[in-house]
Amino acid sequence: MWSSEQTMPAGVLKRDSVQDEAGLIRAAQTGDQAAFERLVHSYDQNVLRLAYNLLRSQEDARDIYQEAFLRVHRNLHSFRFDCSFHTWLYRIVTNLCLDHLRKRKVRREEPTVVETEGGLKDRVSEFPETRAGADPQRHLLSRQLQDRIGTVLSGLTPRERTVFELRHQQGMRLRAIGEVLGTTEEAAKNCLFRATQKMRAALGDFV
Amino acid sequence: MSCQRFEEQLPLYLYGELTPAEEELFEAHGAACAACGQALERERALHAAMHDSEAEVPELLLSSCRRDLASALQSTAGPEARLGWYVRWRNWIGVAGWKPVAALALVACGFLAGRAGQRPVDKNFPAESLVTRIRDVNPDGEGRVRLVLEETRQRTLGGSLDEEPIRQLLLAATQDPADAGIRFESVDLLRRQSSALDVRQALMAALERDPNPGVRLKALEGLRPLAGDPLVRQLFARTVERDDNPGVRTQAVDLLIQHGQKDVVEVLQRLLLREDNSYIRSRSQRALESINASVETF
Repeated sequence: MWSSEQTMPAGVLKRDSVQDEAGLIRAAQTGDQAAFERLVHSYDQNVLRLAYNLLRSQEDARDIYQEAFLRVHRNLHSFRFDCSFHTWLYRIVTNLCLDHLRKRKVRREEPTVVETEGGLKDRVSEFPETRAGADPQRHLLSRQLQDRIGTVLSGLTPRERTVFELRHQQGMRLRAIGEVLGTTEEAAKNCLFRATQKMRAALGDFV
Repeated sequence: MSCQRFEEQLPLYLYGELTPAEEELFEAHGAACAACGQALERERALHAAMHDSEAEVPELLLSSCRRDLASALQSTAGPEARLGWYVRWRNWIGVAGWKPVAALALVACGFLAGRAGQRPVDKNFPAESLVTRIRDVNPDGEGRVRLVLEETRQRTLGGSLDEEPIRQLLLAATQDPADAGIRFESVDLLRRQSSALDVRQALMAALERDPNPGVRLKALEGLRPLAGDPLVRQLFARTVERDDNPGVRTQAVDLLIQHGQKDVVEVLQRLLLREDNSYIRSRSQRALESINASVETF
């Protein structure tokens, strides 16, 4: 690989490069396109991963990517370092994803996980399901389990889904998730709790 | 701690979101209560299953998103930004401190363009345009103004990929330090000629050194027909172990495994130990198991 002098590593910038990041942001704010490009490349892999995992569609993820970074480009001049760039960017991305998920929810089917008198129930679980092979290490999950997880994820509310993705796949702390979503750590915690409870109800007997 | 409280804290414990004091109480209860201990194990398995359910972003999606974004920015930018290649080049040089290499690249491009210019490939297609940047504006106080312009003449060449000047320019473009889009397109065009030694070397250099993962993926595609070549396989092995992009590593491990597995047993074993990406780990494990190689001796 080329040395770090020539290019920024992919992924979220580390703490010791925060100063570099501030320099890049300031340069981009003055219209330096190369600095903007480097800023984008520092975050865009994770942004695309988040959008793709939330929306599970290449085209939708592509739209979110484009719209998010165009908004960043348009509004970067108003970024005042009141919060981290990461938080600011993710606020834009998650708002776009949430809007998309909500519209999709209105357009599409009801969730497969429904509340009944007996608690949460996944309607898909009523279909016959073959258990994974008797591999004691369980390194390889069966395709069916993956499908089931996908179904359960799509049954979560947009907000639960987003909190779950941010915590589980992006590894963000609940406090940071609260900041991104404009809510409290406690509210993010409750959201995560509800999401995992639904996952457990639908998949608990499967794993 | 009650069993109900334990259940409420299960996900928070696995996400490392409990305070040390809460964690201590949680673990003490889990150790003392068999039912809760079992619930913790089930939750752990669920947690791992959900982790493995992460969808891999399709290869090349990132690079095509980047290209679309660059086009969108270009079309929304003002005239100053459209003429901004010089600014980008100058800023890049300033940031990277790569003056000697950049100067060499400029000389090389000039030389190659000159060579191509001596033998026009398509006489019907010689288009020229002038990129102008205003460097200074001096009003003289009498209603007149003196402008200092910086002009760069552009030349458009067209021709078949088999023609040597075009090929040489494309090879030079695979090393364009300023524009990943140019490198991507050049590697994409050249990869169909991977049997030629200079193209193969350019593809290998791109895979090993290009900072853009989209370009590296394209280079990998180009090297696919050569996946049986020992030198190329060594490069794939280095890529699998060193590349910072999981998409590139995934492609590289697939190519390594598809074209024979015995010579890469050690690499696959090391991957099982170090690799973060679950697909690559499971792929390596399956490959090792299929040839009855140990997955635990490193």
